[in-house]
Amino acid sequence: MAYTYTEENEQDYSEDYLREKMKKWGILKDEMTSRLILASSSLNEIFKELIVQRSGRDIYEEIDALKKRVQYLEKRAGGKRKLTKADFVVELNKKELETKYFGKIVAIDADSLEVVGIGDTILEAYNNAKEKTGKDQFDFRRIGYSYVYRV
Amino acid sequence: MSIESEEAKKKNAHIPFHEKEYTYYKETNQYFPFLEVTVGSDTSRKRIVALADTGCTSCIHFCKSYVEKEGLTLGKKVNKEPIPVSVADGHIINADLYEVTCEIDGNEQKVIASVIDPEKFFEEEKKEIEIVEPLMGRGILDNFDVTFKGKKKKILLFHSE
Repeated sequence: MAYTYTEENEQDYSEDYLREKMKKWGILKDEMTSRLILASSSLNEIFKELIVQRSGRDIYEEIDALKKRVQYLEKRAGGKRKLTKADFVVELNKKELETKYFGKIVAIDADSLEVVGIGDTILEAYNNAKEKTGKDQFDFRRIGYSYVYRV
Repeated sequence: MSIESEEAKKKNAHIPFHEKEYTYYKETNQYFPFLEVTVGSDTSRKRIVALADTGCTSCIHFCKSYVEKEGLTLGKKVNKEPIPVSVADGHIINADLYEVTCEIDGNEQKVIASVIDPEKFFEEEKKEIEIVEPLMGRGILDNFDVTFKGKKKKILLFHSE
């Protein structure tokens, strides 16, 4: 006959009674081990209870969803803007440019891969570059920053 | 090129050459310092309003949807490849730059306007993006002395002394 839990027969399966039984069956060697096993099983129950109470749903499902979200955000933050030739030119001459022109705007000729104009503003760098090369389209970067303007 | 001479500007530096009351926005029950400005190319110009924004480091900043809606003709595009611009929410978005003529109450200057296309950038997320008014940034404001009279809800522009 299957055992049915009631408050009355809980007495029959008290911690002391179970420990005695386990000792008798050879599961428990000494008093300390038996206390530890019982304590850890009780703690496991408490943790499970807490997790269910806190999330109200499957915790593993929640972790998976969060992992996916982090992957998506990382991809969006790091991989959205494609690097251009101008980024390559700045990266190649980074040390020299940052020493000489930190915070300034540089105009880059994408064909010759050279810095052709420098200024405090884009207009200044553009006019310098236009005068120097005779061309009218360049790429611009602010040295030491990943962006040219902040809006 | 400005209409007033440099001498006259210095002489009248204590008198605001442009004065405008803040614009009331019914939806948010707030007042904003919009300035009237004429922008365009050598062939076509249009009078618009732009929000005076000291947090914007560009001269004048547009969203592409606004440029299309207003049918603005900007001047020559000066960049070959897209230019990175950092927007308020932390994203770095590609922009195009145009050489634009900008005039406020007779003070005309050539500036660089930045134009972003957030609809294109957020295409994957299918976000609803409102048409945002243009911003007048530090590239223009730094050429003048600007007073924000917050209590009186007025913005005043003076020639620099």
